Amino acid sequence: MLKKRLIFILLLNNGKFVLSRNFRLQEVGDIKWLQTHYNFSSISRAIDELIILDVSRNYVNSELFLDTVKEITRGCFVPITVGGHLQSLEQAKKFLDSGADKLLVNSNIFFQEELIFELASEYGQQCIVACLDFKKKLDNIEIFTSQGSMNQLGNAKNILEKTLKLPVGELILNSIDRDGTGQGLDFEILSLLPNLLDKPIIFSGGVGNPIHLLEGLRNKQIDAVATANLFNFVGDGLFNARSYLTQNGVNLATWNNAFSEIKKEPVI
Amino acid sequence: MKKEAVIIDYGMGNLWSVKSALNFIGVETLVTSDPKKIVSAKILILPGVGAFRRAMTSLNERGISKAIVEAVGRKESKILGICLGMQLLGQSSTENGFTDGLGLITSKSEKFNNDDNSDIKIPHVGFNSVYFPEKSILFKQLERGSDFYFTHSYKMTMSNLEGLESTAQYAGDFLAAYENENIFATQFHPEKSQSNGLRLLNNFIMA
Repeated sequence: MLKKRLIFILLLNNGKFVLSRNFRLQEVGDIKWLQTHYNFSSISRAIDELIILDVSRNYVNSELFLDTVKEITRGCFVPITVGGHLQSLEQAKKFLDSGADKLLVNSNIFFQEELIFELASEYGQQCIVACLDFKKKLDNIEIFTSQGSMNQLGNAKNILEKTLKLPVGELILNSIDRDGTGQGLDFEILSLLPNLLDKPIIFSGGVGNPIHLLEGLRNKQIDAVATANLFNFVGDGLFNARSYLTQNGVNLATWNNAFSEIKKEPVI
Repeated sequence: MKKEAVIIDYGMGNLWSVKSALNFIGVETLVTSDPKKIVSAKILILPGVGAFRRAMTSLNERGISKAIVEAVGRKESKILGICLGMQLLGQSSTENGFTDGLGLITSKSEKFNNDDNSDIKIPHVGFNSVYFPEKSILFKQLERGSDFYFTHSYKMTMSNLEGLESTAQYAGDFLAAYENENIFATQFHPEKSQSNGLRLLNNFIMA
């Protein structure tokens, strides 16, 4: 049976890892910092997927970003989605050559629909992950692009339907209001999804503890929950969250082999 | 002497992660699109992300198709097709119109079907349990129902194939892995399946 997924998100701003709260960024360290303090390869053993995003606001040094992606992915044997400032087929190829398995599209949904079709015909729909960032204004849900700065006019329900019709394999729904707050996921937008949902939904924004993950993964419309909350899941945090979820009946994948054992085996 | 795996580069697919997974288990890798190197390789990996038709055109244009069939025909070399790479080893696919494959596995690829308004989401993406026959070499030391990462919209059908069929369930059973003499294939991504996948890659290398 197909399992639910626990996804971790790493955010990079000009080569530095950042924490995001309502899309405001706070720098926490570079790749050395991540490896020293977090031993990320080891943390990645507790997750089903990894998303790495370039959230740089102005100057974009994509080489620095991709070098960091390569460095992170070297020891991670899970699917990796890479995104942020993706604007051309050439760039997509560079992402994939740096360890990406899937490409994240966001603003492209509104300004570069053609590129999404080209990417899908080149790499297949399963390679493209659409991401919509949403915010509540009064009682309305609105969709934002350009790192939360640009309001996409139009009914959110229509935008969701239109996005799901694009040649994309999955859809991430991310709450800007809850982003980095640890207050839990905001499920309201789920009611705007079509009844017959034929693409996997990844939900994010607001996860602060394992209970929030459980709430998300227990929801029938949700296939995966993602969190970028580095500090809440430091050390054994993700491992513990995973066993908590399994104990509470969430159907997650298990990997019974010890990495060290496989690595040590001489292949002669 | 360390073993060397030749990763076939035909301009599509995620070669980096296959390479890092093999390096992790102590296997040297050569990434090439040179038919001469492919013909003489002992261990071949055919990865693949993308559409069947495009991939097949690329393999044919570069002379790689012939090289693979010749190498595998000699029986001294073995091949592992991964994801689209597995489907390419098959007879044909209906993705973007009917296209012939390499014909090394007598099975065809067709799209998952949710036209009947079933609640099946396409692509089939995520970890899913794989059930394999006891005699399997690929799954040695792995538990029945072990989880592997899939991401695909097309699947290979089972049709009493010559070799060993392993299955997964998604809108019915489909071919999750295949092994017959020197031909091995997985619909899932072993290089993306944590320690389970590394174990399987190791089994292939040692086979």
